[in-house]
Amino acid sequence: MVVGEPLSLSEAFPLAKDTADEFEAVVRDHSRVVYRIAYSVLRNHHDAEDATQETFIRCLRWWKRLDPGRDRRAWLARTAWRLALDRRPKHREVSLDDAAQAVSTLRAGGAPVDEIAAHQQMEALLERLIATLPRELREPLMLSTVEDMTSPEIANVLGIPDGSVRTRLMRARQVLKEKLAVILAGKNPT
Amino acid sequence: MDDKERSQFVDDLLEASLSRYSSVTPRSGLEGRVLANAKAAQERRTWFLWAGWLAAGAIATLIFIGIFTMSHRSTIPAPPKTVEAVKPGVMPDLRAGTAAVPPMQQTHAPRRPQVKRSAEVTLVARTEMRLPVFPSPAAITNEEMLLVQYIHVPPAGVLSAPVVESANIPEIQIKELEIPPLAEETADSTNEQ
Repeated sequence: MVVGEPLSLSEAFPLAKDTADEFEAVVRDHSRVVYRIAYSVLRNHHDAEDATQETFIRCLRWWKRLDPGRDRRAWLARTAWRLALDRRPKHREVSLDDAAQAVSTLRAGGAPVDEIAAHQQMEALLERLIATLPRELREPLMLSTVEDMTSPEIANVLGIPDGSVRTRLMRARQVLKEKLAVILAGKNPT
Repeated sequence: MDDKERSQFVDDLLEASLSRYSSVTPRSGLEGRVLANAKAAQERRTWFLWAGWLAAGAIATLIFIGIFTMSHRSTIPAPPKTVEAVKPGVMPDLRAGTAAVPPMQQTHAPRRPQVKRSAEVTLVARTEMRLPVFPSPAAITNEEMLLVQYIHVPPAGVLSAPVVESANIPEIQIKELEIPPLAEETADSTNEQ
């Protein structure tokens, strides 16, 4: 796979030059958000990049049928989301007691919140807590963690009203907060 | 730690964790890899498209050739067997001893080149097979004809040996059976009385 030198699609593609240039611009503009959407589901760089590649290949395949007037970013986000859900692996198991112990130790040592949040145990704990949420709450929350994803865009990807997205996000954060408080208090929420 | 401080800590920790949850940066060169992969996929798709068209053309040609061949193929079966071989007059007289054996009858008509025949010709050929005699006599095969010829005109030396041996055998002398009288048994029975 060519990585080093920049590639121009119009050089070798059997497409019209304006189409190749347009597709190239779409890739350069939206590849990062597509990657992040895939990563929010897959939690793995390799799988997220595979899903990104597949998303743009599908985009190229359906290029002629895609309405240029429509928001291509929304189409890409929706496709990446569905592809990532199809490839979604099983969540890794993490001991709630071990995670709570690690967080308590860091906090007792005077570590700032950002450092605690960056800890591997805390990331695994959050991943497991999100996985325990019901699907209606989990999906908007996962998409909301992607940078640059606004509430209308999340609503477009999930096919639900914008107001429902906001309501579900609030509810999901509330549930997560309650579960996290219970765990840090030394109780098992399950 | 009071409840308010603990709640604030949980809030901050959740916000910080969620903000980090998907704030990832892809490896450098993601756009180039995506474009290169898209190019390769497009080339593969073009190749498969051409291969598909070629395969479809080949299949269509084969189907056309098959239909053409089937339409020009004769549907008439092979000509029927002639019944002349089973006429009584042709059969050799087996009681005549050294009667001359007629030459072998050809029971199968020679294969003719395939030509188009009309349905009327087919009907005529089939009616020849039906004879008024039931069951219809079957033609003598080559093997049967050879067996008949062997019996009536055996090769030299096959039957001569048993004839010579039979000449040397002496004639069987048969005498009359003589049964002597039972004199002793007759005397014993007289004494008992």
